Amino acid sequence: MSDNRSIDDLGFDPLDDALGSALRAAAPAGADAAHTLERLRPRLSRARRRHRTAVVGGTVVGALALAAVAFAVAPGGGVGKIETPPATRPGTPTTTPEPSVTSSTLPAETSSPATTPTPGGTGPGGTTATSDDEGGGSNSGSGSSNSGSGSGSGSSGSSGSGSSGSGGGLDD
Amino acid sequence: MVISESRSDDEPDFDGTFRAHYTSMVRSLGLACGDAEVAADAVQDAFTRAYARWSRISGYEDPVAWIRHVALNRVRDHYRHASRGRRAFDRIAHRDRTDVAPPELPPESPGVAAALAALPRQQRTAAALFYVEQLSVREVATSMKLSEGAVKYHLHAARAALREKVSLP
Repeated sequence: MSDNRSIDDLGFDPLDDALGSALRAAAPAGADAAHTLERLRPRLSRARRRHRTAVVGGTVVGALALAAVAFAVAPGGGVGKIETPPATRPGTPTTTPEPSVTSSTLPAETSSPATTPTPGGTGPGGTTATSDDEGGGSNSGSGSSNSGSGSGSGSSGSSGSGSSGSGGGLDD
Repeated sequence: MVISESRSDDEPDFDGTFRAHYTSMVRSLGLACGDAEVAADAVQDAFTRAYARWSRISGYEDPVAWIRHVALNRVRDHYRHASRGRRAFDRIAHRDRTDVAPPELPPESPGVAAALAALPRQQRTAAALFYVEQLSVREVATSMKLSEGAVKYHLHAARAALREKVSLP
């Protein structure tokens, strides 16, 4: 080692010898290596066990993560999934379906009141028809069926629509 | 049980490396950092880490340089933590102290060791490895992860600073 240590450009001279001997004399005395090694044995074993556990654990976790990613990406991975259509149909605005619903229910409602007015649509129905229609229409701003029947009855006929209008008015 | 099975071929090699280099490493690092206890702890820690992955490290070109480098890092970490704790303590005590104390040497230490302790860290380490452990410039460079030119520069500076402390025969 020392034959290799001649400082190429430094030039190993007596100063270095003196420095080396002085520093070696000043250096602390190290403990006995064999004794220290025997004392270190348990610590060495623990360190190696811990290192192996870390390596094996890391490998297992990495393999599991890889398998999970592969399962998620694979085309057969989604067999158990249920395909649901989108909530809104493409091309139809969300607000337009509501009028179509009312128009479809309108005939059913107008037809059913047409049968019921005959028992109750005698005298009072004619008198209260206009006020109840307005009341029903105004109160049922949120409800589409009552408002539709009220307005339709007002235009179509006084007797038939009066009973339906009175229903709305009685509720009020 | 796994440990006992694995102790087959690598242990004599590790044991031989430990016996050959432990004491000289503790001495040189002890002189470089000024505390033999810290140096011994750092060297033992480095050997422990090397033992845990000895199958890989024994295949290195110079496994001892790896161990020495780890030990040097441990010593540096120790003093970094210590100076951080000192600064925190000074902050708590409302003291204004910005200087970093050099490594402490026992009062009976010779003048050359005291002069070495006053050198910058790189110069101190290079001189300790070169003069105490008697490593070549190349080995010092490998252990300190520096170029050979940088090691020569540090050795020049250290030698110039220590020149008047040594009485030539």
